[in-house]
Amino acid sequence: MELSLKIGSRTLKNPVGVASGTFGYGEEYAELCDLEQIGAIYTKAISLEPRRGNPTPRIVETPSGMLNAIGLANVGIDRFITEKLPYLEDLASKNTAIIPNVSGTTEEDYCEVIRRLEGIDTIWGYEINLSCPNVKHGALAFGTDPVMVESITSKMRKFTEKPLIIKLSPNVTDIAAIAKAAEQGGADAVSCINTLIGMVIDTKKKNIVLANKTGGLSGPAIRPVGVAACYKVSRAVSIPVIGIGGICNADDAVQYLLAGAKAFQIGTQNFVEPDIAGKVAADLESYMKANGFNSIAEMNAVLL
Amino acid sequence: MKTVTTQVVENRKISPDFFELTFSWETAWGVPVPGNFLELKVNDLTAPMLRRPFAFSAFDELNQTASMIYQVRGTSTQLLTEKKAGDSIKIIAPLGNGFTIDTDSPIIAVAGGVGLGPILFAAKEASKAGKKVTFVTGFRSTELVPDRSLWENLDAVLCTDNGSEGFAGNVVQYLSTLPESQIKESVIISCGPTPMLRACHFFAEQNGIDCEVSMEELMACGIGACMGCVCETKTESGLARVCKEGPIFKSEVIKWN
Repeated sequence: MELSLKIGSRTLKNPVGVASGTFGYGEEYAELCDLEQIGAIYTKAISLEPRRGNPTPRIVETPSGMLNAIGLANVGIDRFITEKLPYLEDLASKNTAIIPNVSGTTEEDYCEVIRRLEGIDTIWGYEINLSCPNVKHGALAFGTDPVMVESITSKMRKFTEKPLIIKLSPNVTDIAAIAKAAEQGGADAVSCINTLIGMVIDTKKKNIVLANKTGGLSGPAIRPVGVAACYKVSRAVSIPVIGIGGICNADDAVQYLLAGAKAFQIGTQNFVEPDIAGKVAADLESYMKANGFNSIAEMNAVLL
Repeated sequence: MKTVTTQVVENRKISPDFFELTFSWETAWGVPVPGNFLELKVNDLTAPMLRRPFAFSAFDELNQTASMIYQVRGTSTQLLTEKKAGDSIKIIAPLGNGFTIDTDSPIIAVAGGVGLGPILFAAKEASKAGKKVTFVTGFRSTELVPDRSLWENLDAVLCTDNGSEGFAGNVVQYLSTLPESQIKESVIISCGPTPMLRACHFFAEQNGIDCEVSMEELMACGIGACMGCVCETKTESGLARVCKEGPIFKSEVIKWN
């Protein structure tokens, strides 16, 4: 059975990833999860400067989901390199892809983060966060305009030959148009989807629960949105699509693969079951065996 | 820290809205210390989706059980009341840091409302270790006071806000009645509503003594990954994760608004 897949110039050992923002910098999960079973770890978003993030409350549970407005709180590129990457070296040598999720407020910011990481072997490739709904400048602003997506992608492309994955926002009119712009700019893959913008109001206190007012909705509640987006995007571009949104088990992941995704990321469920990624990897193989699939490509070809 | 599926031993109602849940807990999974918490998933459904954090209220090494005291507040805790002996629950624990109870100073252990659990645990462990402990617990009124046998072997003071039982007033008002000589040689540990923790901090500061508080924030992962549960601190970064750097903090580190 063939579980590995190519993205750009490199290979992922299996299609199972853990989504940015739900897995810290990997080390947080070391005691609770066999990290080697994971195909790709997408780190907490990294920006050029450290970011404090938003005031609290930053999270609230919703029906079969949650809103978060963390605000890209992160240690910044320098401390990421000195404090977080050394732990991941060993994992990278065992072929778990270490993929920093890169964030910024200007095109130059994004390019500079990539430039600083480029010589480091531990880094497999980059996922570009053009779609965070929780910061005031940048991010989502880039991700909603095809012209800007193509421009920033082509600029980043000049700094690296490693896989460049653009993370797409569902908070747009036509997600396929954004995906095409990313492909046009030279992206090697798109991940699909980031969170949906949402709000919860406390009717007793008569106030908005999150300090940021709105947050990004994730969890099983958004799975049908993610599956539909993957179905649409995978038919609009020829680069691989990485499915994200509400995957809680192998069966959920199979929906994405049948919809056309070549790989997938588990997000919010990592909070509930820290060892879910390994379980999904094992259960996916069982599903493929039971259903006569020898590769992800065969699964992609089922639905026309 | 371990992820385990374990069994309920007892789920006992101890007040109109408090329960004490006791469950199997093996030493090999990690020995909980006072202040540590657990993340509990009440069922396998997607709603409620997230685990809920609860502080340990006891660990019985001999019987290999642990306990927590919870208040019925929302869907998860309502569902939890239906758990019976033998039912399965999923737990990640022990999480977070603990109270400093290995101290030469006498300890004033202050609990407000459902903050009772971890303070009871700390007070009992410290007493067992031969420390001098004054246990102070407060509730709104006598009807809400849980099973008083929980603190029967402690030097305990019960406060009610409306004066219907014990000391009339809140726990911090009680602290103010203690002789200055006793206060000055003591340290405070506390868990309860934020206004109470803030009052404990300023009381300790005025008296020049150490105070530790157990902070509470909405949590998703409980293991330091999601950055959801931060509180404002006077440290360089200005923020700390309640689940990882806490939940126990020196009160002087917290930025009290």
